[in-house]
Parts: sequence; C-alpha cells; structure tokens
Amino acid sequence: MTTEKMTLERLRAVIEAYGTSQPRWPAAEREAAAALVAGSAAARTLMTEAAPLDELLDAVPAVAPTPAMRSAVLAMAPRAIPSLGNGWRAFIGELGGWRLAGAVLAASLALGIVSGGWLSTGVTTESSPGLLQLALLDDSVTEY
Amino acid sequence: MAYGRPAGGPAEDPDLDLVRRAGAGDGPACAALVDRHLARVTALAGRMLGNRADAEDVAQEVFLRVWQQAAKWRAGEARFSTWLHRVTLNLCHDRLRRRREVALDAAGELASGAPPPGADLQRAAVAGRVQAALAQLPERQRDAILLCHYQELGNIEAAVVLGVSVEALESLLARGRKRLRELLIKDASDLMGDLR
Repeated sequence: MTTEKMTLERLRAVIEAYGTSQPRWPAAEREAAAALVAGSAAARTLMTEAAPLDELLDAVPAVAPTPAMRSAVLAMAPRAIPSLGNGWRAFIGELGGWRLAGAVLAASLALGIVSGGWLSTGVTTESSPGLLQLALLDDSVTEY
Repeated sequence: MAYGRPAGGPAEDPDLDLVRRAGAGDGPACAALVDRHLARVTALAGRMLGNRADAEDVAQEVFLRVWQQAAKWRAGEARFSTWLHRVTLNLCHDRLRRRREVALDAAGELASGAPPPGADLQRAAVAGRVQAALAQLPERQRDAILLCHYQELGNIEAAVVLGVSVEALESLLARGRKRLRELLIKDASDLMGDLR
C-alpha cells in the first residue's frame, strides 16, 4: 500500500481504534500510516495526543502462570495408551514383525487343534485292546 | 479499504500439529502447547477478572477443554488460538455474570481492590484505576480492547473471536478507548505522574 492511500482522517481513525503502537495497526495500512506519521507534523500531533491512554493501559500488568499451575494443567492432559515394552517389541521384531508374528500365532493355533484331535483319538479305550485286557484280567484275578 | 494483518486461515494454523499430537496423548506436545498458550490465557483471564485466583481457575478450565477437544480437533473450522481466546472470554463472561448475581458492583470492586502482586504501590494503584475503568466498559468494547491491545491479536482474528466484522471491531475499539479517556482523563496528569 502506498502513502497516498493513507489520509490524515484515516490515520486518526486508526489511532482512535488501535492506539499509537504501530505493531497493533492493521497490517495492510501499517506501512502507509507510519510513512504519514514520519512525514506529517499533524500526524505526529495525533500520536502525541493519543499516547497517554496507551501508557495507562500498559500499566496493567499480566497475571503470569506459576510453575505449580503449569504442572496442574499438564496433569490433566491426555495420556497415550501404554505400548508394549521393549522386550516384547524385540521379540516380535525377531519374529519378523507383526505380520509374521500373526502368521506364526495362527499356525500354532491350527497345529494345536490338529494335534489335539489326533492325541485324543489315540488314548480312547476302544483303540487300546491291551489296556482293556489288562482290566479284564484284573477282574478275573479277584474272582479267584 | 484493506484491513488488518493476515489472520491466517485454519489451514495455516501454526498449532495444528501440536493439537493433533496432544490429542493422541503425546506428552511433549501437551507441554509445548501449554508453554505456548498458558501465559496468554492466564493474562487475558487476569485482566478480565481482576484477580489471580479466578484467572488461574479459568485458565485451568480452559485447558481442561483443550484436552477434551484435542483428540477430536478438526482443521478448517477455526484456528486453535482463535478458539482458545473465544473459550477464555466465554468462561470469564460466565464468571462475571455469576459475580453480578451475587453483587452488582462486585466486578468493579474486585478489579480496583486487588493490585497485582509484584508491582510497586503507585504503579499498582494506577493499574487498579485503569482496570476499574476497563471493568466499567460495555462487555464487547472491553473484549475488543483486551484482544487487540493486551493479547495483540490482529484485527481480523480479533473480529473472528468476537464474531463481528472488522469494521464493527474498529468501532468497538474506538468507542471503548473514547470511554476510557473520559473515565481516566480528569486524573490523567496525576496518573501519568504516578507512572513516572
């Protein structure tokens, strides 16, 4: 924006709204307003007249947060869901990561089902004639 | 007529990454967010309410809402700092309304009766007078001055916080400052003397 677009009247309105501190002035008009102040005695008079109110406003200090307050605020902050420990991470890594670990677990489960079925058929009394005979033999012994 | 320094659209929100990480429970991101904004929130609440205890209560309440909101924060609606200022103002307004229900002039008494700690007595007295004058302003005028003068928000962002146009914000500021001059001008030379 050029200086020509800033009039004394507009500068007055800017100062009346935003005060005399140039960083508070509208960015799009700041450069032109500053140039007008630098080049115009009337503009500088506007600044001088408005300055005391800014100085009074600046006398009100800010309440600053204490370390205890910062801690209290952080104590309320969300927490991440705890992740697996380093040992488990290393173990899973050695297995080839989550995908391979999943495949290994699935294979283990299938093997367990198959072998469990096979073992259960192997111990039935029907398929163990020797054991049945031993039991009958035992009964016959007690009869004598 | 062009107004204001660019407020930055939501897409340019400098806090967006921190807010998302804080929402996921990232401790360092939460700490960084607190370090970036806690002082500004506390300062605004302090100037609105006039005492440390209430300012700290409000600041903690503001951040409780930050933590609740962070996980579901959606970019594109408002900048985080804009939302933060709006929440702070709303909580302060609620507290001031409750005070007025207890005693109509309580806000002014609190503002003028409790000089901030750490300031020398004369400066504290001036600060108390100015804060009492601020407390006498209509709510919207006071909010506009707090956002632009003390929080140093650009006029576009301040207008968004207040839900008004930039032109309306400028009018609020000008009327607020004019009223402050009327309230303080008769004592201006004494007050200025106390500052120097």
